[in-house]
Amino acid sequence: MYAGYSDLIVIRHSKDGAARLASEYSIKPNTGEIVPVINGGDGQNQHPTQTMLDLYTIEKELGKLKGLHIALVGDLKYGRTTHSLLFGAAMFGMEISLVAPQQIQMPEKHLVKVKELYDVNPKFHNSIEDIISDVDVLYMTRIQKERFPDINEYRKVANAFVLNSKLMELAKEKMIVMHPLPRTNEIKPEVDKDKRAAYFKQAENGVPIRRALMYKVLEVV
Amino acid sequence: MPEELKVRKIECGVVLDKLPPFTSITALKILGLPYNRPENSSEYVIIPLMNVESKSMGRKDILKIEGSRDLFSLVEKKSGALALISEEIMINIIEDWKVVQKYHPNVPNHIIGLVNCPHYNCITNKSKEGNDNYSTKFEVIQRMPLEIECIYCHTRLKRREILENLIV
Ligand SMILES: [Zn+2]
Repeated sequence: MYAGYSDLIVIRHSKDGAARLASEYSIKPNTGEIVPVINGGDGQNQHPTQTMLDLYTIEKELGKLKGLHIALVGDLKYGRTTHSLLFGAAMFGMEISLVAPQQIQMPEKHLVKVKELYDVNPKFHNSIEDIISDVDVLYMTRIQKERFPDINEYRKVANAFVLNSKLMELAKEKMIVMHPLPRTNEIKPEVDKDKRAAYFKQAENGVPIRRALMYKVLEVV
Repeated sequence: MPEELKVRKIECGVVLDKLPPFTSITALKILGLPYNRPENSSEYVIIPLMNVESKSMGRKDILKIEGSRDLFSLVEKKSGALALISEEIMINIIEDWKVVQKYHPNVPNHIIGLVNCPHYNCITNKSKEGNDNYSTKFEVIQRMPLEIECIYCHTRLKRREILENLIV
């Protein structure tokens, strides 16, 4: 029914597929006019506008996408931002590494699909240390304790997915660290001062990207 | 066909032949016919034959339903769902003791409201509020062997999972 009141619907929802479902009903009752729906993040599924601003940030900071090596780090099972970015990075020809505890690695269904669509086979790693010297983009995400059935399991692995200044010494001179925010303790505050820390710029880039998207779907431009 | 002799022929109705072993009750459920409650009533005579020998399949089920011509359209309407059991099923339409039509069911490209999505966080799974009632929708990704995908959460199901999640 919200379609009757609005020209554009942005939906952020806790269930997978909510935006898709909403789009089936987003028609103005009087005129039959279709109202566009933007997915602002659906459950554990996808977060496409985040990926748009992520790709924009990489291109803006590093000058290109194709051929760059991106590592997605953290909760890749439930983290919808990394699901969308997996597809986005593959679409633009990036090399992809997946860095996560085994219990929360990227779901098989996304790996199968990204292989089908772009013939991309990401590599798997167990710690940031393994991969940091080789990446152009280190994409950090939050690991939630609640995702682990056993808190001791969590404690055992959590440290391998925390970024600090010492690890940053191993990283390339020209690379960036990203994070969809809010962060907890997976990036130590000491890293914020590093010129390679791009996550605050990244967040700000969400404004022009989402503005552009809204213009585009409303066909104002 | 010796198994045909185990029960009598039917005058008017349908025979589902070449059902995979132990799927005749699932087929009954799909058709919405009574199968497990003494208080249900029906004018149909229902004859499930389970796990009989078959030349081509080793073992199979057969489901005979004798009744009226209403059965013909019922089976046709449900044939998409029957195909989820197997597309090898042979649907025989019987009139006057004779087979007047035979066909295999086909899995439709869009499978709407036939299979529950097993992903607990899928929008098609009922929320706690419980008043939403949306049809599940799957698309066929691959036919041989059958694989389908939820259009909402992209969960993929193979034949065994499809049967486990049938809405019947
Ligand atoms: Zn689903």
